[in-house]
Amino acid sequence: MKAERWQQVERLYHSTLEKEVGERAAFLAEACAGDEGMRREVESLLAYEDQAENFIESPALEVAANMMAEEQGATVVAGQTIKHYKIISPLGAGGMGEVYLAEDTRLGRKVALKFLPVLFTQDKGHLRRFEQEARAVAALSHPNVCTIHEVVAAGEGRHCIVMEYVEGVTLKERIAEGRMKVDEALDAAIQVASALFAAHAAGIVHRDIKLENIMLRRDGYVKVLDFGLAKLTERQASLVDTEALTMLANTSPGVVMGTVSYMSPEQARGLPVDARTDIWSLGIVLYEMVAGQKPFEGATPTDVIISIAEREPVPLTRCAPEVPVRLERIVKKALAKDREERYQTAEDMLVDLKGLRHELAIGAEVERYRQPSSGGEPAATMGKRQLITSRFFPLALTRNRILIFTALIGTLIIAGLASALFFRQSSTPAPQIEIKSLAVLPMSNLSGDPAQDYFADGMTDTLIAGLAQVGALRVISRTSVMQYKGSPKPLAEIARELNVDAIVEGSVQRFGERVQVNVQLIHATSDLHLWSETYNRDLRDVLTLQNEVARAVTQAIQIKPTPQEQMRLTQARPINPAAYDYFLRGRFYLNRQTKADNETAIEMFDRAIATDPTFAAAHAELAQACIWRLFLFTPDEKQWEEKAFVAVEKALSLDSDSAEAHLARGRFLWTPSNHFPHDKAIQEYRRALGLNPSLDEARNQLALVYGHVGLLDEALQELEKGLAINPSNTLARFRVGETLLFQGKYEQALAALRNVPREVNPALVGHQIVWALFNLGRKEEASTTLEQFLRDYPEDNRGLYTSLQAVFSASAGQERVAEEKIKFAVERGKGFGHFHHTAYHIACAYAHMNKPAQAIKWLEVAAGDGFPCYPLFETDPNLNNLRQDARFVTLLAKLRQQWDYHRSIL
Amino acid sequence: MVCMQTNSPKEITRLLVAWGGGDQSALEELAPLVHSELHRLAHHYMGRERAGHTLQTSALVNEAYIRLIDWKDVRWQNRAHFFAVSAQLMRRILVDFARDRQYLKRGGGALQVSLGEAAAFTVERGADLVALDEALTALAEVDPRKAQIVEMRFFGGLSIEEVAEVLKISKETVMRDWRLAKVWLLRELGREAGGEG
Repeated sequence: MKAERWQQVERLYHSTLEKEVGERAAFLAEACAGDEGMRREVESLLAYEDQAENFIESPALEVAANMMAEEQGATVVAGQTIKHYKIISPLGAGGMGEVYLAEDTRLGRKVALKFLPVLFTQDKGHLRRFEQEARAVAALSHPNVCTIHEVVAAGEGRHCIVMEYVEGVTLKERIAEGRMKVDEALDAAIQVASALFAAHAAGIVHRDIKLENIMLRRDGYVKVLDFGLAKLTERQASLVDTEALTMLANTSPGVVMGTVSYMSPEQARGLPVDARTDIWSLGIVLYEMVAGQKPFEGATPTDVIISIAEREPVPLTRCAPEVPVRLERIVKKALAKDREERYQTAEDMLVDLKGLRHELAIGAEVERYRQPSSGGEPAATMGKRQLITSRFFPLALTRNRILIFTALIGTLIIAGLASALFFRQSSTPAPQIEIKSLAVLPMSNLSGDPAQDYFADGMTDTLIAGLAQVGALRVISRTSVMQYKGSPKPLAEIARELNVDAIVEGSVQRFGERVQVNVQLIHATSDLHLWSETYNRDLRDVLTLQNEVARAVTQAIQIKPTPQEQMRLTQARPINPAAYDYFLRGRFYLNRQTKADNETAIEMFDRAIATDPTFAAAHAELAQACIWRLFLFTPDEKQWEEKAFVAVEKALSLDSDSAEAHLARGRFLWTPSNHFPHDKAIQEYRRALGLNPSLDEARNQLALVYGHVGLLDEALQELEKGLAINPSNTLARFRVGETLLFQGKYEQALAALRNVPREVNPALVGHQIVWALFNLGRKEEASTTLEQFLRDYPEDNRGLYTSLQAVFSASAGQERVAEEKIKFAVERGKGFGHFHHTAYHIACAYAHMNKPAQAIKWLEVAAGDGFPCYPLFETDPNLNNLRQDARFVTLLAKLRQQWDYHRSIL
Repeated sequence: MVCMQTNSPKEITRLLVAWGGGDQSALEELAPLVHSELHRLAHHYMGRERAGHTLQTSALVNEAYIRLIDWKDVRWQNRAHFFAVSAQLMRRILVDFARDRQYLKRGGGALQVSLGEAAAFTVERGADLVALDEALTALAEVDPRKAQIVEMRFFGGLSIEEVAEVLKISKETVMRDWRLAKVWLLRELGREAGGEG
């Protein structure tokens, strides 16, 4: 084109552009004046006017940079060959570059090629370190670690990892479809933990465990990707200046956010990391799989980091109510901010995860057998029954199903197999698993607020009380289980220590007037998960809930409550939440057993009663609190007696079936001032035990009364039962020793007494040890021990020790000393209603001195004042000098009559 | 910047002069500097979340150009010559870069003109730059000044004002030339791509 003509084109082009769009064609035609070539030339340029707006407005450098960004993404195209790898198709993008499916033309297999961003592979030294790490990963050859075949150069400084092709979806994609079921998530977590275990053992820390890096294969296999890639990025901080990182953080929030969310607190702080950082990240992944959301979130990466460093995640059970408490615990442990408190190794976490899966597998299998109706009963009856059971026993098993269930468990234990296949095929009859005893471990307080501990403890109590109503079941008392609060001991060990067949554990979470309780039942020796349920209730229904749980558990372990128990388990009226709250707080303080706490407890029960005057249990507990106050702290403040009396009677008038109220009434009655009304006390304790066989304190009190009236074998039986429920009741252990002493079994008694921890009323335990030693003929030792005790506890309130000194002196022929000691003991014991044991010792001293009249007089005092222990009087060698005395024979006969009477009412 | 630390603007200027004077080895030293800036920018794009960040993006690109061709610092007798040289240099390096990518994409579908569509970054971009380079060469034969304006604006990263100043013509003239050059190039590219439009 000639320059002049081109200038003309240019002029015409600009003039035409100045015209309105509609006029341009006419204007141009006229301006060209028949020069058709010119007209077409200008018109063809005008045709591009619209497209020209944005054309090459972005500088070439930007265009090329975009191109490069894509190349780190998608510059590779199908058919291209890198080394002997032929690209087939793109697989997807990740933060660490684009991934392609390729064919290894030499080996004829599919591989994945991951192109690493040039930015990360520029530095030769760094690339070399990465290649070393990649070789280490390649050497792992673990089924859950995505295998790296090699790292190849792809030209222009680019590198790609050739790795195993995993056909499936990433966990991120999986979760996009909805949160995972617990067993599915658990399965994935186990495989990841297994991969981490192997990698950590080889000294490889992943550092970037996240949903995007975990592939889920269709066959259920999980593969962890990008092991070793940390070696590429760890240089970022040192080689790329902070400006670039800030820029990255500001302009690519998505990318940075994704990485930040999985950072461990130490990573977020920029501290050196170790294998435990992977455990943290796995905790996040596990949480996310189950909850469907990240535990730590925020609007910006900085917010997320703050959340990681400072906040506790929303409890898993709130996002996913079906989550077992054990899983919550595992996640919590993995997400401990302080890595010292985390799982220290992936193996530890793996063990816990597998344990839980094992449990759940059994649970699921049992569930499967619950579903189909197993016939046997007419359909109509079945229907009705199921209607009832589904209302009141949401988890009830029919008898046949229980048999199948227990057979299954039995088979399982014998075979040691959890295989579902085995279950389905097994038709062999197997021995039944028997659960006759269980312990309710302290429920965990999931509120995240320690101030709510009392509520969780209260629920534990309530649950224990509910289960304890079932006679055929031995339920460990709260005092014995509380020592396991937060204990890391394995369940099997706890069960062994408490000698129970099963453990109930769970968690409590309260949201205002709502309460969510998660309970599960675990067979102790096999660690089988027998049953679990989550209840979400109004706080006012919490007593109904307690019974519901109790019934579900008894059903699950095939214990049939008696009709009365059955009835009690269905009765429960709604309670006022505020009153219940005071009630639980009161119990919390009451159990702490200090004077100040006792005062607080009484205050709380008073408030509970003020809020709901018809709350029977609160009256009963108030009575207990007053009695404890009277017995333990302020024996002179008679107002507590009055208050206790009113509370007991009020409790019983509201609920004559309150075991606690009957226990309180018994304790309240059986006092020195009432002259120890054994019959009445026995009656109250038996009633209490009839209502709640696991009320161990009622057993101990009953044993105490039995011991005094000479029902020694029966006393030992009750103590044994009480101790089975509450092994940590040391007072009961003392009483065993004491009862054995009354039976004349001195060796056994001494052994038992020596086993009682010293801190338990040393004066009380000590005097019986001394007495045992004396009766075993170890008089020197008895004497020395006695003197030592008197030095340690010089007050000798009831004159007990002094009366023992009298016996020792009398038996040694030191009559004058003995007489003095007796006088002293009587003086010391003045005002102490509980004097009958001292009286008995004085009698023994006189017997040794061969003064039958005085001896018999003191024996009558002892017996008449609450200690008519016929078998002791009849067999005690200390009284041998009296045996020929007619008055003694008469006394024995009288005691024998009483004894026969008490035996008759057993 | 990673590499820039060892290459001061003065050094770059020296290399540019050398290349302008016909020293081809200067190109070998200059190309990595440009690539380095590309990497830096590319890194920025990797997040692919560019919506709302256009201002920041142009700022970053300008910064990159300034680092490579800091014209404010240049005390050349013939400023026009300097910018002509640096724009040619950028053109050469970037088109080479694109040509390598075009090679990768061979056999990968229809050619698309997408240099104007800011949002559509496709693998064909490499081809676009190469095609544009060819069209620009054709334009230079018809109208050298317009080709030079495109070279300075598009490859050299200069603004309308800067081009006006360097070429000692009015801004209006630069804008008119730029506008016509773009439609001419588009028509040329359209023809190459198969005669459509």
